[in-house]
Amino acid sequence: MEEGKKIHVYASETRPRLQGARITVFELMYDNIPTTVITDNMAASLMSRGEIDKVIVGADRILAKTGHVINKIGTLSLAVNAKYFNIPFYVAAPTSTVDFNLTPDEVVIEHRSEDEVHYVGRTRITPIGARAVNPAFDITPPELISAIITEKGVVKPDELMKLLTG
Amino acid sequence: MAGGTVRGKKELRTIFWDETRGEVVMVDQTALPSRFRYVRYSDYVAVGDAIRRMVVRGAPAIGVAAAMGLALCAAKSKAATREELLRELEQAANHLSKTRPTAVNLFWALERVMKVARKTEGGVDAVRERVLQEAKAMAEEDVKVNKQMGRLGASLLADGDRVLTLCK
Repeated sequence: MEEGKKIHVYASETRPRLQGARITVFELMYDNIPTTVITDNMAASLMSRGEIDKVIVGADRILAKTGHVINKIGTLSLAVNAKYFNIPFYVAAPTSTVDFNLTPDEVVIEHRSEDEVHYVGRTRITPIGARAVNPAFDITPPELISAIITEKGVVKPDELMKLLTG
Repeated sequence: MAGGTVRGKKELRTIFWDETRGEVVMVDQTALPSRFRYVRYSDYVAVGDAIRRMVVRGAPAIGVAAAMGLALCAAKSKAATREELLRELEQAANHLSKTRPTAVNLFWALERVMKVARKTEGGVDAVRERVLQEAKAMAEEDVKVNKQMGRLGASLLADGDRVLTLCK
């Protein structure tokens, strides 16, 4: 990192589209940051063995009214696990990600094609005729979030409104 | 996650405006990591398709893509009057707003560009120029904001930390 601290990143592969494995790892390697890929179901195991010090995720929508964070599917699972193992859980997102109006019930969660689950690349991995669901995002409640990192400061979820509206 | 990663000598931008050709250029995120390739877009409908197919992904980058979609709409428009151009932009914004529902940055970016477009005085060329300026400014801001978040985030990390992340 720029400050001279050495960190090691574990990148969860992020099924179904594998953005973590494909893109996050590519970007981290481009930046010469030591990186290890894990499949999405390995996180709790690593945490339980004391191998994770912090979790940092992004956000697609942060609800200023309630402090809920909507992010890539799998975020909630990491947050629940981090809470159980007492690992700080941070959300990093620009303030353009903040939604000042909606409450969790009102947010539209995108459901994408089943085929993104059935196929990896061009290879079908489920039996023909199998059903799948594919919500692209989940909603993490504020009590699981240690802090939100924005370009304007680092705050607790319930302090975000104050930070942005003075 | 966002519009650019800057470190060392080389700057990696996932989305930018090509001045010479007046087109939007994106790193095709569906092709990574087996292929690193740039794709070009010269109309907003194609940009909308790129957002939907996740050629561009990550909430802030989607916002920048949407803004550049509007810039393309303005650049290619044959509108004779300012009002006509604004109508076309409204239509493009409406189209782009329907590509993906969850990331708020998409709507934030469209609204920001449309506000600027409506406020700009003068004719077609003035609005066209101002919309493009705003879209490019948003791409630049995105890079700056990322650096600033990086700095603030780094203060939370200790030397030797092992950090788990997801699709960042």
